[in-house]
Parts: sequence; structure tokens; C-alpha cells
Amino acid sequence: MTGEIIIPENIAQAKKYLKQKFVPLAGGTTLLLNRSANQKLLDLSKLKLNYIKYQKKSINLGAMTTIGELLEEKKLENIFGGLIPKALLTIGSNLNRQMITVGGNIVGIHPWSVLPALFLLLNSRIKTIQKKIYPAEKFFATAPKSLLKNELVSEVEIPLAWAKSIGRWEKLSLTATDYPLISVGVLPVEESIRIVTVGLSLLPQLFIIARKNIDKEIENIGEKVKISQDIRASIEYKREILKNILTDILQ
Amino acid sequence: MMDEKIKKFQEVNVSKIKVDGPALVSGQPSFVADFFVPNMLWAKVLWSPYAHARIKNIDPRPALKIPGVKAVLTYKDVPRIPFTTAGQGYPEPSPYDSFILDNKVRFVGDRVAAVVAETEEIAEEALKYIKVDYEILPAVFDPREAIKPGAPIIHDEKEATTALPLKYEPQRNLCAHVDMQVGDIEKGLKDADFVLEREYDIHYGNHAMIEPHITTVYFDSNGRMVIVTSTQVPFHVRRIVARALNIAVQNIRVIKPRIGGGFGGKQEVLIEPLVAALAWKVRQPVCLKYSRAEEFVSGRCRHPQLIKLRTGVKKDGTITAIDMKILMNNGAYGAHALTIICNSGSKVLPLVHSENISFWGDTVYTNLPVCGAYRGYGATEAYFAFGVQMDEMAEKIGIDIVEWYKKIHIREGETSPVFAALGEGRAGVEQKITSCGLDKCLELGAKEINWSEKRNQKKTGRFRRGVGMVALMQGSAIPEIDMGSATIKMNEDGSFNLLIGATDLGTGSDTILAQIAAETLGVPTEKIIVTSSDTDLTPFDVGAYASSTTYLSGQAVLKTAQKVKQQILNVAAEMLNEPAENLTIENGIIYGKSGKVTYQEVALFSLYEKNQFQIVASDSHIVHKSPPPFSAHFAEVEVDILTGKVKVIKYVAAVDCGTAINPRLAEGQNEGAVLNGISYALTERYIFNERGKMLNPNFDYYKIFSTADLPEIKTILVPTYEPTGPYGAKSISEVGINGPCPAIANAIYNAIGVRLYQTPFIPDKVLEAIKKAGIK
Amino acid sequence: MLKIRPIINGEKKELDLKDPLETLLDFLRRHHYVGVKEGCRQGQCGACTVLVDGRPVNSCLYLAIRTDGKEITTIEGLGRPGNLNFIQQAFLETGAVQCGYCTPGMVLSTRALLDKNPRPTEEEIKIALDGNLCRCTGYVKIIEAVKLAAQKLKNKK
Repeated sequence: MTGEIIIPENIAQAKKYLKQKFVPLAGGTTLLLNRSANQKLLDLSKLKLNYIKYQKKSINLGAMTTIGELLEEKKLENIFGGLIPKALLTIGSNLNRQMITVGGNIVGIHPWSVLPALFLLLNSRIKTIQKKIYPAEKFFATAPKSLLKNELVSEVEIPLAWAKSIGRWEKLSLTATDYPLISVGVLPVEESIRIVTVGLSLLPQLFIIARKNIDKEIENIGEKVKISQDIRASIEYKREILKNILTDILQ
Repeated sequence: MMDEKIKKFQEVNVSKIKVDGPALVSGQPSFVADFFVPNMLWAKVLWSPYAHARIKNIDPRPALKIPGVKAVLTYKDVPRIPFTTAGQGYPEPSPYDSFILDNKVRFVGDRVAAVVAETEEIAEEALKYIKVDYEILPAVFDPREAIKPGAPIIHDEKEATTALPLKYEPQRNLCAHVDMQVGDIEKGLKDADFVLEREYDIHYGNHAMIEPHITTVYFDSNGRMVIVTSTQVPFHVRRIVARALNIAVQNIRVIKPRIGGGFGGKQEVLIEPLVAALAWKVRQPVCLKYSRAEEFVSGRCRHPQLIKLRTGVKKDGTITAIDMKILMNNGAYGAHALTIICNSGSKVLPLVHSENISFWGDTVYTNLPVCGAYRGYGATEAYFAFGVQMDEMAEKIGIDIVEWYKKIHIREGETSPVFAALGEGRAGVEQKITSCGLDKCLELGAKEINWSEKRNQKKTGRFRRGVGMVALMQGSAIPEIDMGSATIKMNEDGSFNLLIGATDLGTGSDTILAQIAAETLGVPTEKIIVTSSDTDLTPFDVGAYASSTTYLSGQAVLKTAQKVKQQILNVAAEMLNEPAENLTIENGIIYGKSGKVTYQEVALFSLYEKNQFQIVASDSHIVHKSPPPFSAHFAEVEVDILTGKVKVIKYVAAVDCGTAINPRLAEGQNEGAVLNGISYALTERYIFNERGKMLNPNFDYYKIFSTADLPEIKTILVPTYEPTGPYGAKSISEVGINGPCPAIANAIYNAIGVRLYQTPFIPDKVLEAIKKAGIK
Repeated sequence: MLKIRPIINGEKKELDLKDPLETLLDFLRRHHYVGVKEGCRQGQCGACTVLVDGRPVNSCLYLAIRTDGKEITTIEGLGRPGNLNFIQQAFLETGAVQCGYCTPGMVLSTRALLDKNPRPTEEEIKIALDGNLCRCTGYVKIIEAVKLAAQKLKNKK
């Protein structure tokens, strides 16, 4: 397939080509699945963006870190009740996980993307090489590609303020490596409970509810949640199991 | 000649390593795509976007102008000779309703035209430039509608015909029919204490073999056409390509190298006539390989069936009536239309005794993807209906289903009127059962799953477990119709060339046939060099289907090896100057009173020394019965009542295949069939839109199991000895796929008290049934 | 003519790229590493698995140009008939090879697993191989093969 690819060795070069409308290539899975002629690609693999930094108040993930690399980090098992590896294992297959990157999964967003929902649940901050910082709620309020002009995601920062909370993640799909029909992430935080959904719409949806009148709150979520068409299952079914799963988790 | 005593086997019933194993496990060039042919061109097909349309006008000229495009074929460029794509013996019992290219399209994904170009990319691009004017016709997708008066006629061409005098009424979209009656059904139902009548709906499935269809055609130095193709039926390919292109069989050679799975999807002469026509046109090598999406849509599928099953049973468990009516959807063309629906009856109804049996089958055309042979071959669909009804009936009369099967299944020495009544396009063949290990299968399977304890366990909470089971049989080869043959020649070092038409699609037939030859010749399997599936070099074999290769081709190999052994003895007799009858053979050495000679010495003598000749023999075999392998399947499932998701926890398949020539390969066949059946029951399906387009032609949305979904699967081989099979063997490759749909449905009922009559058991359907039943 | 310099099965190579966006799958097969198979071209079946710097990837979704200077392992690098490595041997001995089309991918995923985790649990084996689809075996003997390979590895040490 015809096209052009540039592999910059430093951030300055990358910025230059981003201005020329080159499309960032992270893990490559999304772009290579949607090939078109005459693509102009900017390969990010030499920008040294794959790292995991453990700070006192946060964990910082470089945008080119792969899911596979994250799953090898023992330290991530000890926070949020092991939520992070649990959620990461619901992403595709082992082979996919060696290629999918943090940045790629949040920018090339799909209804089934896990990291957007996870980062939303964990109140993360998304940083770009242009030094902008977006809170997850802003970043995932619209399709990130439309939000970022020539910006490039460089890092995701997960705050550790709630690291002692026990998070839950449940995925419903036909097979283990399948895209979710629905995934639900839950994190109890101070006086409330944070809930995210995957697979119901393009963007993840966040709900923050009080810890009492749980049944009413779940009904409320059931009414407010946006569910798009999916050839695999009806909207009514998805709404019902969302409520069923939440009821079970929040008992 | 052969010892009458059943001695201990040396080479059969041994888990030998596959003869092609080392090449496969090291990625040696073995598959069609691995052979680089100089000057090879690439083909791509233009597929129909409409479910039913006439091609009013088609203009390939804009596509021909593209640099690198060598040819574009439309229906105007190929002979208008109807044939069937079904890989069956001649005359094929499937309708001749296919053309290489036609002026009508009959499903979304049907062939419109084909391009040959220097690269795949150019060929793909050129497709867009072929101008087609369609006259869109009304389409029909529901077989119940297709058979009603006034439905659009899918095959209105005058050339569509049958090679045998069979019921074929394309003007009402009927592409096959079969019926049989034994006794008096209505009387049987009246005599019953309980009558059950249910309708079952079994769905579309895809083989999903990991290597899609691929064919390369080139011309050898003498200008003969050589077809290297991923097929289960090389000899049928040769004959059908000759017919479709109107060229002589002798001008075609078909070679099957290693192939990446078939499961029936490659028991089809699917793309070879087209690729041959393209190569013929450009006089250069041409390769066509299906993409995964093309494999789903324009390959072949499992036949969906709508089954009405009525049974009448007495309180004591006697079945007084079985009445099965099937409406089968063949899709847009009639490959295997008659034989599969016959098989739905012939492999299911004889399992249990009943004096009154009625079977009615209609196969119809619809404007949907084409169905064809798929492991189980109609038995899979019918066993869902039968296995679920038996379980439901057992509950009605208050008997444990396992005990009931033990009481009423067909036994050694017995027969069923169904065998004679239901053939495959011709009269069926009466047979007595001469080996049956079903009782042992039932006993061992029930024990392994812990049947009594698990059947009665309490079910509460969100995740509820249950167990279910089904008893099964299939067949081994097609009696009186199919033939296999072998040639064996001896080399000077005491090794042998085994030339067989039989087709190894990953099943290991090269290996087990070598084992049979080795056992007969009294040499280690490693002394046998196998060449298979080359129409120039190997003698005829119908190919890999109907669970034939061990039972049919194996016996041909055994007979051939016996002839070769006799020749060896005759030479040894000359060398030792003793009568051949006095000689004995042990481990490749022939012993006489006066001395001994080795196989190697015999070979050298015969080739070089005196009265020289090549020790070589050929023989063929047809079978006169189709001894069923029997099996009992037990499934433990867990149902999530909040989402409807069903998980299989443990699956036990106990199977009687006679003697397992290679136990490890036999287990592997069983395990592969079972897991295919499980995902077919739980996660595989075709999603169509209202215009007949398949929406999920990829592994993203057509789900098959990975290792992460694997339940505990236990295979129990129950040995019996089938006297008509080589070293007591029957078959095993198909029967395992028939169990999961009924066993899982029955287990779901045991877990949550809900009967499912429609496959697959996907979460939303199960949840719907749970809610309807009011389960909390 | 664009050339790249990957290290394939331990050998330093200089090979041409058909175009800058050629996939690793097409690149390898074009250069006669036909053990790498095409099954779906969508990263779903794993028949195209190769190791890049020891990590198993879907070569159908991996750009060849990225492998410049990297170590690629294909099935050809593990062993040939007559000189098979212990994983290949284990697959043969347990009957884990039927049609053989998924086998190179399975063996390479096994290699990647055992290189990082020489004593995997059954659960870890299932997860490591969950991107390699097989339609023939039902996976039962493949899992046994990985366990046997781990055993052979242990015996070697």
C-alpha cells in the first residue's frame, strides 16, 4: 500500500511533522486495520515514550507503553484492589496486548476501548508533548481526535489518592478475547461510588452515585445511560444487563 | 496369508508421531501459498452487492485499461455448462445449478466477474472499474417463505438440472426432497402414553478453518494444466473442472499439498473452475486466495434447519413413534442439498428402536450464502432436535435419560429399517450393527462427569450449574458408492512407497494409512513413504468426507499391503528354495526351514538379481455397510442468570470408534470436533441485515473459542472391534461435533429449568428465556 | 529501493521493502519465511505470529519498517526436521499438530511465554496463547504440549 512514514528520533522532529498533518502511529493496530492509500504516518516508536514512572502521588505511563508491558508490572497489582491488571486483561488477546499502546488506545478510541474508561474511572490526567494537560473527564467528553489539534499524547498520569480503594471490573462478552458487549468498572471513593461503562457508546460514560438508595441510583443510570446500536445485541438487553451487573457488584 | 489370531498390534493402535509433523512444526513450505511459481498472476473476484439480481449489462473494458491487468472474465467469457460444486462421486446427487460465472446473482457475495493482474493490489483496484448494470429482483431469505407459491424463483435458468432422477423443483425453490415411512405413525402416536411435539431451529455456521480457500493453477512444460489447491476432493476437482471448462480430464492434474483445515468446507469444487478458466485465458499461472471475509460470505456454511419432531413414548420407555420433518435452507445454490438432509435422518433415527418412523425432508433455495458439507453433515442439526426431545421425554416418563438410552439404543446384531430406507440419493443399504460400545460410553461418561450427584444438585444464586447429555452415532463411509485405492511399491532398502488418493486435511490420514500398511507388511511405520492426493501419481480415492478415510481407504491400503507381502514371500521362497506357505515373517525378516532373508535382501534380489521385477501392487475397496461410531457426551454448564451467559465447565466425550489406529490422533479429532460444536452452540452465528448481507464476516464478530475459553474436555476412547474395518477400525472424525448443542441445551435445562429450542444459546436469547420463565 | 536491516533468527539481514507501509507478514513471506501464515489479516487469528525482540506480535498488523535493527524470530529459527527444538518436539509428541497451519504461531507464542515464565500455570498458558486460534485440535493437546515443553526445559537445566 502506498504511503509515507517518518520515524522521528526526538520530540522536536515529531512536532514538525504533526504540523504537516502526519498521523501518529502508535501500536499500529487501528491504523493498519483501516488502511487507505497515501497515508502519511508518523511512527512514534523512537521517541522514548514507553515508560512507567512511580511517583509519590501518581503513576505516570508513557504513551507508547504497551498493555503487555503494563501487565508485567507487579506494583500495579497492589493498587485499587488489583483493578488495573484485571481491566487490562480484558483487552483483546495476548498478541494484541503486546502491540496496543496507552496513547493509541485512548486516542484511536472505539466503543470497546478499555483504557479511556479505566482512566476516567481513576480520574487520570492526559498530557501532551505540547505541554497541555487534560483531565480525563474533559479528554473523553468528545472523541479525543477532535479535541487534539496537532497535539500528541505523551503521558497519562494516574493519581494515587484513591489507591487504597478496591475497584471492580466486569466484562460481558461472548468469548474471553471478544470486544465487550458491556464492561463495567466500579471504584468506591470517599462518600460516593464511581462507575464507568465500556461498549455502550463510542465514549466511556462515567456516573458518580451516592452510597445509599443504590437501587434507585441504578435505575437512574439505566435511564440516563446512552446506548448505541450494536449488531450483536439489542439496546434493551444492554440496558438490562448493565443494571443487573451493577446490582450484583454494588450489593 | 494373514494370521487368523488377533496378535498384539505393533504399528496400529499406537500413537505414532505424524509423518508430516516435523515439516509442519518447523514451518517448511507445505501449503498452497508457500509455492512460488514464476510469473504468477493474482486473481480477485467482484462480488454481488445484491441478494437477487440479473446482470443486464457488464462492461470490463475500463478495468482492462488499468496497467497490470491481464484479463477480466464475465459470464460471456466462460462456457455455459451447469455443474455442482459439491465434491461427491459421479453422478453427483446435488443439482447442477452453478456456472463458473453467470448472468444472474443470487446472494450478497455471489460471483459477478473476475480479474487477473500482476499484483493483488492492482486486481483489487481493477474490480471497481468493472461496470455492471443490475436489474434488482425481489429476494427471499426465509425458507418457509421460499417454498410458498409466489416466492421469487431463484433458479429460473433452463440449464439447471440434476444428474440423477431426483425430485428437483426449482420453480418452487425446492432443490431436494426425501421421505420415508416405516409402520404407521398415527397408530404409534395413539398407542403412546405421552406425545411430545416441538419445533427446533438450528442456525448458520462457518467452518472457520484457519487457512481460507486458495488455488494456484499453472501449466507444466507440456502445456497440461496443473491445479494446486486446498481441497478435500482432488479427484472430484479434476472431473468437475474438466466438465465446467469442457476440457479433457487427461489434460488436468490436481495436487493437494498440506492444507490448513477443511471440516467439509473444502469438500467443494469452489474456486478451481474459476481459477482454471482465468489461467486458461492468460496462459500464465494464476492464484486466487480468499480473504477471511470472502471465506465467511462466499465460502460454504452449515445448513440451517427448521425441524418439527414428534415422538410418542410409553410409560415403560418404549418409543412408539418418531416423526421428524425438516425444512433445510441450502442458500442460493444446491450443493449437498439431498445428501445432507438424508443424513439428518439416517444418522439419527436408527440410534433408538421404534416400530413407527416417519421422516420428511425438504431443502429449499434462499438468497443467502451457500451451505455445503460441514462436519456432522446434517446429523449435527438433527441431533439437536433429537437429543433435546429425548431429554424432555425422559423427564415426562420419569426415567433417567442415561438409563433410558441404555435400554433402547440399537445393539450389536440389530438393524434398523432406516438404513435401507435412507441412502444418499440412491437406495440405502441395509446393515446389521457389528460393533457397539455405547453402553460402556454411557457408563464411563456418566462416571467421569459425576452424573447422579451433579444432576440433582441444588441451583441457587447468580451462577447456576447443571449437567446434560446425549447419545450419538454417525457412520463410516458411504456403502456401495465411494471407493478408495492404494499402490505400494518396494525399494531396495526394504522401504515402501505408499501412494494413496486419500486426502489428509490435517486429520493425519497419511499417518494412519502408513501405520496400517506398516502393520500389514510387518515393518515399522517409519519405513513407509507416503505420497497422497496427486491425480497423476496416486490411484483414485473419493477424498476426505463421510468419515471414510480410515474405514474405506484404510481397507484398500490393507488389501494392497497383503498383495505386496505375498510377492515378498514369493521372492523369499525363490531365494530360500522353499514353498512360500512354509515361510513366516517377523520384524522384516522372512524365516524358512533352510535359512532367513531380510526384506532388504528380497528387494535387492527382485530388482537386480534374477527374474527381476518391481514388487508392486494396487488394490481398491468399496464398503458394503457403514458401521457407526457411537458416542455419549456429557456437559456441565454454568448459567449466569443476570446476563444469560452460558459457560461450559466440563465436557466429557466417550466414543467407540472401533480400534483407534492412532489413539492420540483419534482423541485430537474428538477434541477438535467437540470444541467446534461447543462454540457453535454458544457463540457462533451469522448476522444478516434485512437485505441479506452478512454483517459479521470476520473473527471480530464471528466468535470461535480461544485457549482462554477452553473448558475441561475429557475424551474417553472405548475400544471395540469392528470386523469389517481395517484392524477393527471404524471412524471418529465427525461424530463428536453432534453432541454439544443437545448436551448443552439439556444441561441448561438442568441448571435453570428452561428449555431452549433454538441455537445458538447466546446471552440475550438465554436471558429472554430466563425472564419468561420468571427465574430470579 | 528502500532496504531495512532486521536480524532474523540471529542472522543480520539487509532486505528490500516493497513499500514503506508493507506489513511484516508480507515482508517475511516475500523473503521466503513462509512459516509465517496469513489467516485473517486483522490481528484476530494469530497464524501470522512472529517474535519481535522476544515479544509475540501479529505480523499482519506490524509495519516491517519498524523492525530495522530489531531481532525477529520466525518458526524457521527454532528448528528444522532432524533438528527440532524442544518446543517443536513437545508439540509433536503430544499430538498438538493437526493441519499445522496455526502451529508456527502457537510454537512461537509458547517460546515467548517460556522465555519469560519457565514454569507457567495452566491459566497462564491459556492467556499466553489466547491470540492463536486453532480449529482442528480443540486446544487440549496444545496445552499439554506447552506443559511438556516446560518440563523438557526444566530437565535441560
